[in-house]
This record gives sequence, C-alpha cells and structure tokens, in this order.
Amino acid sequence: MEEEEDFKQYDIRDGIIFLIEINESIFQSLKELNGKNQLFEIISSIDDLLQDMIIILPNTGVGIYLYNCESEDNSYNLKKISGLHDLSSTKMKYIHDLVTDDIENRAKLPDLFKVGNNNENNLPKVLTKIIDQFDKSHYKTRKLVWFTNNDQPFESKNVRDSLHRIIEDYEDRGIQINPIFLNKQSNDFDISKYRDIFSSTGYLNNYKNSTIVSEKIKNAIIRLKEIKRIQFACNLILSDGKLSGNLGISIKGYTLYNQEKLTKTRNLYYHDNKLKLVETESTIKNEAGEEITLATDDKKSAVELKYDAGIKSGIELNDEEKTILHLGPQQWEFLKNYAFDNNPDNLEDSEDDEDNDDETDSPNTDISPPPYLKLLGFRHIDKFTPFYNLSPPAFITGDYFNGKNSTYGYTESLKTMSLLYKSCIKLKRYAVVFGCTKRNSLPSLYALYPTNLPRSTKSQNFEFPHGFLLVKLPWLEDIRSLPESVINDDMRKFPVDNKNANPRELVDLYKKLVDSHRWEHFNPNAFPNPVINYHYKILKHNLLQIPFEEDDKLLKNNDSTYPVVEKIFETFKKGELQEISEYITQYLNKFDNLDTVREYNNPAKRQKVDDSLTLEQVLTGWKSGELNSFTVSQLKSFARSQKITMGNKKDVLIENINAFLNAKEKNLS
Amino acid sequence: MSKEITCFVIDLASRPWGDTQKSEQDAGSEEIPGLDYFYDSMIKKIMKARKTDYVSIIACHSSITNNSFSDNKEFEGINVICNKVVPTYGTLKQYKDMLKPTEAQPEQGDCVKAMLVAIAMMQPDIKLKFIRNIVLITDGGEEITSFDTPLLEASIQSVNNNNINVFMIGIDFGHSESSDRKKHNEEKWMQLLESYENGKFIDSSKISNILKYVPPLKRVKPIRSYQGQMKFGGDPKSLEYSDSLKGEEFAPVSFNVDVFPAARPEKLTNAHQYHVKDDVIQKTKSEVHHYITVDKSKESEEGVEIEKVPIDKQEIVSGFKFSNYDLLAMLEDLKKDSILPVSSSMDILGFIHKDDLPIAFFTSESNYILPSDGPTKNFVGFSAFCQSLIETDSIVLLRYVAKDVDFSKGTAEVQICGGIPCKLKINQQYVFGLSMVRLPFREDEKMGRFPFLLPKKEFETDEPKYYDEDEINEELMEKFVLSKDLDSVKSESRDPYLIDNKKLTLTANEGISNVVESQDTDSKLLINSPALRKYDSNLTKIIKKSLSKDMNEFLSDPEFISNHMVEQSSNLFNLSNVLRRLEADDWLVELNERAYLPTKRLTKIVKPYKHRKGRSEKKEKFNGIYVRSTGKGQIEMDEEDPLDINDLLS
Repeated sequence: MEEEEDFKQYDIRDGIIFLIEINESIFQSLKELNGKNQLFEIISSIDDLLQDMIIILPNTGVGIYLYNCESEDNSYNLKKISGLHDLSSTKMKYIHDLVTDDIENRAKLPDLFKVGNNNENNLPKVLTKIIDQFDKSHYKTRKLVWFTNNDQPFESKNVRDSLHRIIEDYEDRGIQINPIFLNKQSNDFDISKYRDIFSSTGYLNNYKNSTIVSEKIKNAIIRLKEIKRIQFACNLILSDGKLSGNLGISIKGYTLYNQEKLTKTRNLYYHDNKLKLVETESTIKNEAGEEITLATDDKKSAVELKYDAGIKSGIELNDEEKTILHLGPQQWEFLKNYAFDNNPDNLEDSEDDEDNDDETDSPNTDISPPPYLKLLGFRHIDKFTPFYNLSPPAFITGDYFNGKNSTYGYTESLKTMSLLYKSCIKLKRYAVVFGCTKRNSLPSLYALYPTNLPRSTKSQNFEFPHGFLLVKLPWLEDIRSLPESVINDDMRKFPVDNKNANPRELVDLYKKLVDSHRWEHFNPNAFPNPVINYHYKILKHNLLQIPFEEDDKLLKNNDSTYPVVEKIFETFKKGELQEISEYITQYLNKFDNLDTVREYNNPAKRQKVDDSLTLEQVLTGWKSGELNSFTVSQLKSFARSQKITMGNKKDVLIENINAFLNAKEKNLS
Repeated sequence: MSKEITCFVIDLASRPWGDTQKSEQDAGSEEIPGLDYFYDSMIKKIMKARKTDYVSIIACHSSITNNSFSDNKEFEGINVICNKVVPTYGTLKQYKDMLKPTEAQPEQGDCVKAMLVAIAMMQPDIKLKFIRNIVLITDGGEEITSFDTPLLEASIQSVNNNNINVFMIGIDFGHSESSDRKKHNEEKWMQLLESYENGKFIDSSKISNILKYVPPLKRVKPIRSYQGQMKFGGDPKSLEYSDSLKGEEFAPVSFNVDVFPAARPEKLTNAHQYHVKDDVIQKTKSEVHHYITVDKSKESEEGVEIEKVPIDKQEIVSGFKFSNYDLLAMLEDLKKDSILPVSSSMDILGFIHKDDLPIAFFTSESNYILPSDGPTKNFVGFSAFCQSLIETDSIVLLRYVAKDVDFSKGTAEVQICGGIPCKLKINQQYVFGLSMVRLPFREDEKMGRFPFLLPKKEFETDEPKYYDEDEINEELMEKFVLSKDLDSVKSESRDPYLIDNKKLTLTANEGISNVVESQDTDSKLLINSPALRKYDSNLTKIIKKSLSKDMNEFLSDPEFISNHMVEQSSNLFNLSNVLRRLEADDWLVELNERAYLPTKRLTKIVKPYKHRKGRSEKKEKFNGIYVRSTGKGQIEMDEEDPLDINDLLS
C-alpha cells in the first residue's frame, strides 16, 4: 500500500504567501487596467483565486503581506493583510471587502496602505520574518509569490550579502520563491540585482529578461491553482519477445480535468453549543453478532490479517444449503493475476550485446506485475473514434526520476518520452496500450494520444503540456445496447449504403444554423459550474451573515450558460435565422401525413400514440375523481411526463398523481 | 430483465469419436462428452441466482422413463430430470450424477422425440412472455426414427411461432471416423435446424474456446435518463425551475429526444466477506460507530488527553465543510436555499469543429441521444440535423439538465456536453444519433505544469526545457512507430461516423456468442475483456470441479492452485492471448517481430534498472503467483519457487 499512498494526493496542503512591495508607482492608475492600479489588480486577482481555491483546494493556506508599507506592528514596515492560515470564509470576506470598498469608493487602497519610509535594511528583516511564518506553519509545499516593480532591492554590499544568504535559507528549507517583476511605466525593469541575490539558487533559471505586464497579473496569479495531481506511476513497456521488457519508459499519469462535485458534506454534532465533526470507526461482526478482532502486525497487509482471523472473500451460490465459494488471498490473486509476460517463449536475444556490462543491476524484465502499460502498436489519428468515453483521460509524461518508486525503472525516461512524442506528432500516430494503471485495477485497452494534435488538445490560443492523453477504450462488456424500440423499428432506419439519406434541402437548412453559431474553441474557464458556485455563494452569505438580494438568487445571475442561451434566443427573434427556422418547420410539417400511413402499418404503435392523455383530460379526470378510468399505460405516461413517482400498482400510481396535483393546486392558490 | 427458460436435451448415448478423445474419456471419470456448455450455463445461473431464470433437463436414451407421454411406448427412454426449476448448487450436483453414459437400449427414446417432449413442456405457459431456449447436445450416433414425421413438422411451426431459440451442440460432427448412421443423422439435423428461424449449430470442439474467449454478452436494460426537448433558440426563462405544470415549450428549432447510457465500465462479480470458522460460514457485516473527540487536557493532569465520546446516530446533523475553519449545519431551509433551482432541459449552445474540441475535455461516460418515438417529422428533423453535423464535421454543444432540481434530496446538476453525431448500425441499416459526453467547467480544470518535450512556440515566463535534437534516434523512433502499425493489414475504409458492434443491437442476453470475427483492426480491438473472461472462466472451473466433492474440503486443499487451477496455458497476459478472439491469431507477436531492429537499437539508449533493492518485497509476494507455460514445455510458478511442469501436471 505504501507505494500507492505516495501518489495519493487527496490532501494537497500548499502554503502560499503573497509578498507585495508598496511604493508610489504601484498605486498609479493605468489605462491598461481600466484606470485601476497594480495593487488593486493583484488583490482582486487574489480574491478571484481564493473563490476557486475554496472549491478545489480548500486545504491551501494563504497569507498576504505588504512591505515598505506603514505598519504599527513593527519597525521594518511589514504590514500583514492576512496571516498564513488555511482558507476561511472570514479571510475571503476581508479580501473581498478590500476590493469592493475600493470599487465603491468606501475605502481606497492607497488610503488604507500608506507607503513607508524606504530603508534598504528593511528587506532582509522582512524576508526573515516571512521565513518565520513558513516555519510556524504545517504546509507540505511552501511558496513565496513576491511582487515588486522596484529593480533596486539593495544598494550596499552588506544588504546584498545578507539578502543572498536569506535567499539561500529559503532554498535550504525547500521554500519556493516565485518572483513576479512588474513592468514600470517609464523604463524596463532591470533584473540584474535580483539575478545577483538569487545567483546561488535555481529560482531565476527559467526566467526570461522580461517582466509581467500589468494585464497579465491576473493570469499569473490564477495559474497558482495549477498543481500537479499525480494519479499513478508505472512503466510503459515498449518491447517484447527476444528483447523482453528491455525498452520502456517510466511514466507518471496526472489529472487534467475531472468533475468537481459537492462532496464536502459532513456529519456534525452540537457539543457545548459548538458544531463538532463526527468521526467514525467500524467493527466487523458475523451474523451471530460476534465481533471479529483482527491481530495487529505491521508486516501483514489488511487482507492477510483478515484472512488470519478467518475472514475470506466469497461468492454465495444459489443453494438451499447455503454454499459459499470462499477463497483465500492467494487463490483470489491467481484469479485476478493481471501480470504481463513480455517474453512468453523465454527467448533470449542471441546477438552479442556489447554493452552488457552491468548485468547485476539490470532487473529481469520478463514479467511486469501491475501497474504497467504495455504497447501493442500504433494507429493513425484518423482512426480514433471517441464515441464511447469511459472516464476523463489522464495526462502522461515521462518520469523525471525514472521510476524511482517502482521496483525497477527505465533510464532516460524523459528523453525516450520526448522521442516518442515527437515521432507520434510528426507521423500523426497514437499508441494502443494494454494494462492496469493501479495495482488493483482491472486492465483496460487505452489510446495513448499525443497532445497538441487535432482532437487531443489543440486549441488556437493555448498550448497544452507536452505528453499523451491516456484515453480508456471500451471492452464489448462496457458498451450498452440500444433500446429495443429503436432496434426493432424497421420503418425508421436508413440502408447502410445510402449516404444521402435525408432530404438535401433540409440538411442544408440545418447547416446554415450550425454555421450561424460556430465556436472557435471551448474554454472551460469561461464557465464556472453554476450549481457548485451557487452553493458556495449561499453558504458564504450565510456564514458571514451577508444579506441576500432576491436578484442574487436568479438563475440568470448564477448560471454561466444562461447568457449564451439568452443570446441565441435574441438572434432567433429576427432576421435570417427566424426565416430558416420557419422554413424548417414548414418543411417538416409535410411529414404529418406520413404518420397515418405508419400507424396503419403498425397498429400496436398506433394504439400507443392514440392512447396518450392531454393535460386537460388528466385534469378533468382528477377533478371528477375518475383517474381510475384511464389505463395504467396512460397514467404512467402522464406520470413520466411530469416526473411523478411511479408505483407498482394502479392504486399507488393514482394516489401519487393525486398527491402531485393536489400539491400543485395548493401552491398555486 | 426478461424471464428466461432453457431446456437442455442431453443424449446420454453420446460418445466421443476418434482415438484422442476416447483415451481421455477412458482415463477420466464417467462423463458424457460435450457438456461444457451445459455446466457453464448452469453455473452462471447459480451464481446469478435469478428467480425467473428456469431450466428443464431432458435425458434421452435413458434407462429411466419419466415424461408425461410415458403411456406411449414411443416415448420410452426419455427422462425428464427436471421441469422449469431454478437450479441450485445442490440440484446441479444431483443432475451431474444423473447425466452418466446410458446403459439403456440405444433405440429407446431418441433425441428428436426428446425435442418433441421439450417443446410440449413449453406449451402450458407459452402465452407468457419468456425467452425460450432449447439446447440439444448429441453426437447423432444412434438410430433416429422420428425425422420426417408429421409430429415433427408440427413442432417446427410451434418453435417458429413462439420464437423458441434452438442451439444444437454436435459432438464430433463431420468426424472422419463417423459411422454411416451418424453421417446420415448429421445431415438430417442440419436440415431440421435450417427450418427453425432461430436455429444455430455449434461444434462441441469449438464450444470450450467460445466459452473461454468469447463468452456470451449480457444485455443491460437501457434506462432512460432524460426525455424531453432539445431546443435551439428557446426562451432562457424556461431554464428556471417553476412549480407549474410542464407542457411542451416553444423553440424555433426543437427535437424530442431520449438519453440512454452508451458506455459504463463493467466490473467483476461482487464478492462478499465471510467468516469461516469450524466449518461454519457466516456473512460479515461492518458496524459503524459514531463518535466525537473531546479535548480533556485541561481537566487532566497528564497533559494532552483526547477522549472519544460515542454519540447517537439520531443526534447527528448533516453539515458542510466550507473551509477548515467553517463548519455549517445544513438545516432544511439552508439546504433548500443552497440548491440552484434548475429545470430539466437540453439547450443547444452552439457548434464546434470536431478537431477543436479536445478529448481531454471528455469528463464523463458517454450517453446516446436518440430521437423519441413519436411523429415522423421529429425523426426526419433529428436525422437531417445529425447529417448536417456530420457534413460540417461538427459537434453540438449542449446545456444539459437531466432532472429538475430536487429540494428534498438536495440535488441539481447542470452540465455542458458535447454531442458527437454518429450513425448507429443495426443489421444492414442505421439510425442517426449523438454520442453525448460531459465537458469540464472551470472548477474541473486540474492542470499542472509539466516539462516540455519539444521546443515551445512561445513562452510567457519559462525557458524551454527540451532535449537536444538527436536525428539518429528520432529516425529510429519513427521506424519503430511505423513498424508497429496496427493497420498494416489494409482493411476496407470505414465510415468514421459509423458505430458498428454486436453489443449495440443486443436485444437479449446472448445464449451462445454470435461469433463473426471480421479482420479489420477496429473489430480486433473491440473484444470481450480478457480480465473478466479469465476471472469468470476460472470461477466456473472451480465450481464445476467442486461438484463431485465437498466444497469446503475442496477449497481448503493447501495445494489448491497447483492441484486444480493450473492449466497447460499461461495464466499471464501476453501478446498472443491478450486480444485473443475465438481463433488464435499471432498478429501482435508478428508486429513485434517486425519492429525488432529499431527496438533493439533503441534499447541502447534506455536501460531498465533496479531502483531500490528489496523494497516492496511484501507486496510482490502476492503478485508472484505466475504460471507460465513456455514453448520449451516448461511451466514456472511463482518467481522464487519455479516448479517443474511434470510436478504440476502429473
């Protein structure tokens, strides 16, 4: 289990401190920021970031400090806006209030935070104080995001030396520094003094000689929520037969997209007028109610301990004697053995291998126990069909550490991955692989589809990370059948060889509609999840006792897709689209006559169609208490249309319909 | 699920033809050949324990006469072992004992007569809705007097009128050592099968491979998850939930559609946990206790002391953890207030070219969108709309709310989905549909920062990190990729929008798999899951072997695996068995051999190496039950403890 736990990062505990230098120019209003200043842009971007983080990374700690800012707390001009603690509603409110107060002119940021006396000796003290804050915290990864538009952090050598030393301290402690140098209005930011104090660290290695322009502040801050989420690590084996599993890549799989759900519901209990989290523990009992206690032995797995206590996994067979097919761990293991044999014929590569010098260190690669992925072959990307999706694709790249956590790994994993990626991009190929990504998961076929090709992740304004998408392909068992009514309705099918099955005129009309609302790309960032955000909004208001206006509750103001639907509604009201839709309606109305022929040919269907009740019929029946006179299928069809709970018996069904209509009437009155 | 009745007609006079089988038969227990399917199907029924899955078993050429026509001398030697019963493990043990080679006069009770009894037994409730199967297992070696009789003619009509499926499992049909009588009977059987609308012949020699490699597929009844309009240009007000009754809403363009599941991952048969002690087996259950922790440190003299205080389940309030500092009791009003009031609907948001919608965005299992049954114009409109999407290579973007907000359950869900147009092939025809998949919202993005494998086009803050161009290696890798081309065997070009697989059109559980194996790569990659079939066939094997023994004793054999599970073939996956269908096909092995040279040269760059010696030893222990059979006739079992094939198979 140990190994898998290495990759479980349910609890991402990041601690981030924002450190912002205050000076006159950070308060200058800028045209590119719609008249706002850089500090406002930073604070409001942090506000946005927190709104996202409370949903997706609620265990993150955030602190915000201003330096070179008048402060009553200390002599070195470090002003705390918020200490480094886990996110909370009060912290979010405080920051949000800073933003809204500035917008609504209640309190402007330059009035709240006054520029202090500039003294170069303050900066070392500030940075040391920030280290203290990190040291006191419990975060797993720690990050300092340092905003400044001042390219002269020191003048004297003394200060330079002490800054250099402190920055080394940061590196020693594993605190990452992410400096964001803001552009200045008049001249370019001179990065050289920072290069000097950062010289013994790698923090500036990836830094180009350019600064962040004000418009990109938001983007730089929002990207802080990008955290690698490892799903799994395993070997991708590329060779077989004589070469056994000698060619391979140690890979890691990461989450790119997955569905965020409202899962943070908890059991609570009022204790001393305070809410406390309820915790649970469980005991195993047999049918007689006797508790089965497991021994404690660190060397044994949970399954082994259970087995020792007499607990076996089994399947009950249909039998009067109650026969259970119960098996021990080894037997189950035999049944679920998903290991791959890379050299089933036990062949050896007969050719002389000139560099076979370090035999002792090379593992036997004949058998790959799960987790592993095994290459079967490649296909052209045009052959890929995405009709049966099973789960969000994982992102695969070479493991920088060459499979450090596995029993064995492959050297040069990133390089081999890079070669494979390059070839697949050039040849437009995707790989088909077989395997299990976790030790206990069922093996699947996967498409290993390179990113930044059409259909994978190519998008006009954004380049995806380089690597492969691991797309699960279906087995026959995973595919679901069509409803029988569709399979059996022979009148509504087209012959396979008929490519132009539909009326040309009609298809062309629809094509005009398709062209009228074509999207260049789909950007998930433009669509916050309405249900989740609404939920958080209401709870935040409730926690902070902020009044809620009726307007705030309207779907219109809470659903990011609403404006899209609204806009389409408006465009259909006038002009060409209205005409097209009218043509379509007219065209389709011609087919009404056909239904008589169809019903004639299919009397069973006719009866069904004729049977369905209108709303008026049901209401009349309900008022006169004669719902019983309708057939079960009629009532069921009505119940289905109104999403009323069905019942197994007609009486129950009628009761449910009555209850539903009574409730409606009550609501209306 | 449909009710089902299967009647097995088993010829007790059947015997294997040819030397090999004879000698095996002599060495083994007294069993009639060709019963693999019978046991497999009975065991699966026993495992599923469905109350409406009945069987009847009729033995012919039996020394016992037991049937409702037994007054008639014609029907002597036909023994109805059971009639319309739900089989149990215990009864299957009894049936096994009864299905022994016959000692009766061979002319008594031939198979055709037994078939007639089977058909007659189905008559009393023939009006009820059942799936009816007759499975006939015979070698056709004995005298049959009832072919071409008027009674048989009449029975054909009954079989066809009542949609009865007839599977015939022929033992050694067409064998070179067949007697003239057997050859004659075989011909007659084939003629009879042809007269059935749902008649199917399977040779017994193929059946065990069919069961092993292409086990029958189950149909899962499609459950509709949405029924309503798909609107384009509709009034946004209709998205809002309202209490009033719903009728059809006007929209300039709209279709009535149904949504059904298209893909859901299949899992292994569920196992439960049992407590086994002194031969008593009891199901275990897990009892959950709730408690809170109270800090008693202040009252205690011994420093930090946390006490667990058990609490009553009734007193628990449902809550929400907003942040690590904010717990909120979700009282009824708040619970209701915090759900976005949305109404069930499906609205078109726009269209996007298929190449511009990354599959990285596909965050759910797929669903089918199909036109609802109803007026023809709906069907025509929907089909033409799908065709317009296909012709423009477009995907429709949808706002989808499957169900109205449910205040009592506290559920509401809005999705943005992509609808990919497709043609669903049903026999030689097709219907248009959309394959719908959920797309991510802003919160679903979990992007990280990764090393770049290629020079990046443009950078914001980071320098490119990529490897030196190494042209020789690149060329090698390209050769490697090209030589492993799965489509190297040219097949007919397929319509890229056509979905064509046998599971799509399954209307009932398959009795015996319909094996039509086309050679195109798509079909070769869309097969039964090798893990599921291995697991199921091993379970079936264990149960079958236990039938002649005491289950508990049998399972507690310390050498269970080597005594009962090991076969001549490997229990590991390899390139020849992983995509195995009915016929063995070494295409993947050959493909690998073709790539030998570039692979060999690429291995010069890469070396597998042990990272940490001795780590994970504990885990490896259970992973180590490897049984390999090799070309050299050697079986290895367990990495540390290789066993000799002679020890295992003797």
